[in-house]
Amino acid sequence: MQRAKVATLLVSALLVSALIAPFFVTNNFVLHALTMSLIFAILAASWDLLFGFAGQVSFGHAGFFGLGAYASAMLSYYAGLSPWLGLLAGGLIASVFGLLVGFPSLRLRGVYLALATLACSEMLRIVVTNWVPVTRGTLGFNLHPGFTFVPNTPTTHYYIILVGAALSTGSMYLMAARSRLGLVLRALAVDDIRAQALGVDVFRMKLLAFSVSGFFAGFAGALYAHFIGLVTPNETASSLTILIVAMATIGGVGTIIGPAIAAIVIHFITEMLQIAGTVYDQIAVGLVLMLFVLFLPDGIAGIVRAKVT
Amino acid sequence: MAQLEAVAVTAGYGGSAILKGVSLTVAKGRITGVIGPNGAGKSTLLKAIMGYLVPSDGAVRFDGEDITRLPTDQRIRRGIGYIAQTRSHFPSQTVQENLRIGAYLVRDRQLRSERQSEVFRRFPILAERRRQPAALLSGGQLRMLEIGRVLMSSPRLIVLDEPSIGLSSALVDMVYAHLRELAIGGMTLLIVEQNVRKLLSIADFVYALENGSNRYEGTPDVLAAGGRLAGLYLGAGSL
Amino acid sequence: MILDILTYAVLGIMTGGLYALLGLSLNLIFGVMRVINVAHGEMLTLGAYTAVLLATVGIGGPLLSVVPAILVVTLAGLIIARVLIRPLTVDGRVHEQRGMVMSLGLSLFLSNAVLAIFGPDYQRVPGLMVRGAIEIGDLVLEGQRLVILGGSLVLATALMLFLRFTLLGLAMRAVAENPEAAQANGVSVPRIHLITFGLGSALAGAAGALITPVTYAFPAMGFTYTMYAFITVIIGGLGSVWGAVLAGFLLGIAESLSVIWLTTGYNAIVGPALMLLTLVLRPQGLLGQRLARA
Repeated sequence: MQRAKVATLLVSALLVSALIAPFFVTNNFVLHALTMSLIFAILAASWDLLFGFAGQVSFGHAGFFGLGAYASAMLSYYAGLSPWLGLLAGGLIASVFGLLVGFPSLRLRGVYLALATLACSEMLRIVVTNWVPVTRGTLGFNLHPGFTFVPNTPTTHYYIILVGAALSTGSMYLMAARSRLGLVLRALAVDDIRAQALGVDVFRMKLLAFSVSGFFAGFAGALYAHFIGLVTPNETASSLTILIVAMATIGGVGTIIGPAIAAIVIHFITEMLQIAGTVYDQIAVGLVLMLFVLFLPDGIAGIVRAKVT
Repeated sequence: MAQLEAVAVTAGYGGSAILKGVSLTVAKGRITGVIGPNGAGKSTLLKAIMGYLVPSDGAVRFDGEDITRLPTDQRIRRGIGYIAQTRSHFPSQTVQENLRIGAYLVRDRQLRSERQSEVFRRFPILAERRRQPAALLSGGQLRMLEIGRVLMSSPRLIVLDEPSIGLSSALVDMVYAHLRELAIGGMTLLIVEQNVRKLLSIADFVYALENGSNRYEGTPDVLAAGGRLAGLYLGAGSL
Repeated sequence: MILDILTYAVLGIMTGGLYALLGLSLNLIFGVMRVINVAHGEMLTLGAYTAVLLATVGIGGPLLSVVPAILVVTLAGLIIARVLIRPLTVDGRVHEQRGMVMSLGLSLFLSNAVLAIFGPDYQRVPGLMVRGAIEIGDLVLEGQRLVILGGSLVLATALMLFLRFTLLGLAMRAVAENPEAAQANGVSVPRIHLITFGLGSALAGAAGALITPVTYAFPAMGFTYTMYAFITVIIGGLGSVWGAVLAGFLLGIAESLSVIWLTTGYNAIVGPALMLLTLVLRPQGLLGQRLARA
């Protein structure tokens, strides 16, 4: 299959360039931006898993991310948990939250579903902002950025997060595009009434999609917590969700890889622009998103698909 | 004299063409019918005529004017009335409000009032229920409401998509009696129908569509005599 | 204690009026166009900043700031509807997913444009408030808050009368219910969409102008109000005008009263919680007609 070959080629090229990037990128700011972009890639991919494949619009992804970040930070802060375990913990706790969010959303669709997830995410944000004795409110948590057992240099962090991103995105892609689970999810997304008639346990599948998506978003959050070292309620704000949706749409919903790459590109560019001192980066993202919806609704992945077929 | 013409209309949804070069002429003051099996493209043809669908090829002309790309509301403005197959009314609004919208383009209050009185005279049940929401009306009453509201704009041609659908035999007779009365009054009618027998009983000329193309056309007695009726009921495979 | 409850309840009524206005305006847009406008709050932001701008040149007061805000935001709304939303409309309805994402982009764009132009500082409309207060026994009702309530009630009533008794209002209701049939009556659905979006946005803009004397204006303010608008619409029921009004006041009172048991700050959770509850238990809201599964 021509398309599969091209896709594999592209992805391999990307991986290789990602692996050797630190040798060419010597500026620490740039490397930092790249690393953050990788975290966003995981986040965007997790959103796409839920929406592009399971058809569940989530306006609450900031909640998963933030919860993963907070969980990991708090375990580290209060219980001295190793950051490595914190990564896992962040993902797991967020996936439980995913179940909690998914449950009320089972019978809902479209805007109703989106609003339900948004409500959950907002409630989390309010709790996190106000439960000062536990979450330290707007102060948040200030950790020693970094991981144990490794030298804490920008390059090491980059590689750690690169591995995390590659593994996450890779497994999400395999799950979605190449497994039976993925097939079931897609059938669900298209017509869940029919899927149910065919014997699919729709509720269980939806919950599964929510918790898996939540896991990876939380994992990204935990990575963020240890990479940046500062976790505040901002990480649960819905402006983050908007960004994620933008990245996924521009990359091409339903492709996992598309949103991941778009996230990297968009975040990297905006962060570079911020360093250069402009305020216009977010305006640009908003503008680009609108243009994409108007003219390229299938995103960049859509363009690539069209060119290759 | 042709009041409405569809000339080699090709139209469809997405990539596929449902209509492949269909032509039709509606003579002024006459009742023209369109029949055909399910999926033949009858409703699609009406949608193209009314502007809900823009043909990829071909033309639609009304009184000689090319209206192929005209928005629907402009076609209504030119004097075409349309009653869709289902729900061509507003259930949550009262009978009176439904009629009021029918007169959306009528500026003259006096004229509106006169026409409403005329509709109430023709359909007394509507007058009785003028303040009730349309959702409370029965199937037959709704059909009357729809005809009433189309008459509010005093069209020169009325297009109807399956007026008999969902109605009992007695109600169908009632509806057709009204249609016949309108035709006698000089109204031009274009009617798509599944109930072939009923349509043939009042139509002056009938087109038969199949698979998006013209199949037969002629006056009802010619069609009936030719024994093609069975084919039209059951589709091409039976011939 | 009774005084406390009363005070909070009254305060709640005053904010409730605002929520009702927000809900009504969003309901209008959603009901007619079926577009989920996440940028609705940004229309309020535009109205607020218009009032701020006018204040810097010395023009203020309820009427003098609301009217220009309405004009500015109507214009913005018409442009947005024509350029961004119309291309996404098919068969008289806006493509649900694309409309939502488009409005997300718009929200990003507008809030950051405001940030770029006016800066991140909180802006206040200084000294041009309606001063004074009405005292009923021990109850103190601030003048400006009464203005907000009064303004909201006036606008909401005007909208409801408009929808009920004018031909244009009837046409909008018709398009909301059945765009195809509306077109068959000579109603130009694209034009109605434009008018609806302009009108809905204008009301949000008016709300923005009304509140600036009391609250700060800042670039990201829109989101909170978008949330309130959606919460009100969901609780009241999508498509129900009375529902939005009822829900607005209920929300205002509930949120305000909850301060007695939850601390300020936490009481913000009442809104989202009620919305979630409604979505789970009764998705069509209190008075709504649409089914969540439709």
